[in-house]
Amino acid sequence: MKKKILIALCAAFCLALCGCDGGDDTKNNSGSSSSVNSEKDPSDNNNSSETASVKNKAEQLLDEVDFPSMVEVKEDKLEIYFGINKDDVSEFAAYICGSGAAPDEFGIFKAKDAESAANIKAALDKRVQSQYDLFSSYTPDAMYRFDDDFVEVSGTTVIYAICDNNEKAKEILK
Amino acid sequence: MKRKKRSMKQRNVPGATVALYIVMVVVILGICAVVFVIGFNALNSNESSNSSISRSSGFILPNNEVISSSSSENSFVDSSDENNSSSSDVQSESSSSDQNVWVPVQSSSSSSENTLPMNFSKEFFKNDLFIGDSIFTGLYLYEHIDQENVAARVGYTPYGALNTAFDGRGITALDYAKQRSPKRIFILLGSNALDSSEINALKNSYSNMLTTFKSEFPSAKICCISITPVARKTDYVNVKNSDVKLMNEYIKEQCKALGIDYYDLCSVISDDDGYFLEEYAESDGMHFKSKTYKVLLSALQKKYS
Repeated sequence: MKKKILIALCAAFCLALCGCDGGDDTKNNSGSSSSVNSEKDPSDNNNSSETASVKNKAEQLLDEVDFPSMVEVKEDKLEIYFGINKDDVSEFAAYICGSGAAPDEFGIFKAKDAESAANIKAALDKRVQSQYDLFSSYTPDAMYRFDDDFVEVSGTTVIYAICDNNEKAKEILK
Repeated sequence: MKRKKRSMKQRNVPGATVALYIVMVVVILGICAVVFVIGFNALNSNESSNSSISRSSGFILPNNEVISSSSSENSFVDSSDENNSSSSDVQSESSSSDQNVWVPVQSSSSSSENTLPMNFSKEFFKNDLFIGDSIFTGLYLYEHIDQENVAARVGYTPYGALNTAFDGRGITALDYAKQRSPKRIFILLGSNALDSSEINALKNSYSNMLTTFKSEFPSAKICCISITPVARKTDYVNVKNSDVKLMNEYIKEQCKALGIDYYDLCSVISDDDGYFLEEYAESDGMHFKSKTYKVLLSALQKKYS
């Protein structure tokens, strides 16, 4: 009799624990940071924490600096918008102005190796110049955002930003 | 011995009952936890998916289209319809008919993702071309329309559509349209020239553009979309809504004369004083929020379905 009661108790606790656990799965799935060519080893915790870090930094920047309406750049747009080869990128989070109203944009890219990081930097340098050329005659009042814009490489991570507060952006993305 | 066993049994009975009660309570708690978590998640997903419309009191059509209080369909002027002398006339006529049953959307919490907008599809516009300035770049930046269906660039003008490249390939919107032979051509241009040139010069260049497109694409359906106004609070202080109104009247006349459709988006997203409603305007008071494109595309698809 005692055994039966114990088994029933264990089953009930398991049920309760399962119920409490369900919510986290959907939240994890909603993460929006992009992972490129991700043939991931499920046991690779470093990769998932890196993803979270990239995503968190991007979201923190969106929270702490004034932006127009921003839209997240998807993996299939890396080449089109930035000229970045997706094979050079392992993880990234990037945002551009969705309405076309302003030159604001930023990104954080984890490159696969040093050579890939150099490729990404070169592409972003071109992109920043292109944005400058495009907006210089269109929104003269917004051109201060290019005063201290940056494209920086640290190890295999490349960060860049054109925004209202580039100093703050650099501090957050680093 | 028998008496001892019986007394033990008597002592065990209440213990088992208590344990059974505990099991039942734990099971009920478990079920409650499951229900709570599922309900909480459902509520969260609704809030995030509905955030874009939660602040507006729009209307939802029977086919799940969410739209502003004035019907965008009602703002069309079909060039072939001589009775449509003005967009306001059309609106009053249409609103008096019972063709569309409007169901007000009360709040985001009462809606679910499945009952909300997006009754336009990229697929519908896959053979079409959108020609415009920075406002139309938002069509693909927000991923409402594929980039290959958009010929737009920051600062583009009616003159530019015929003479200036819109992207790095060095091709004009006109030449790109020739390459693609679109089924329909949607044009939203004029805001930039309003800011920088005399209105008469803009009228000439706009008219020239329309004539050229009409002659180059006789079998395509061409639709001009009205220039949109600026909001009360705007970065574009040089743009005056009186000029926008004046120019839109001219565009409407030209469209009618050339047999081109005209869509009065301006009246749909403006307040009573003619300012761009803040709920549709980007923070600069000129460009579109994502949902403004949805309103536009829903209306266009409905019109041409």
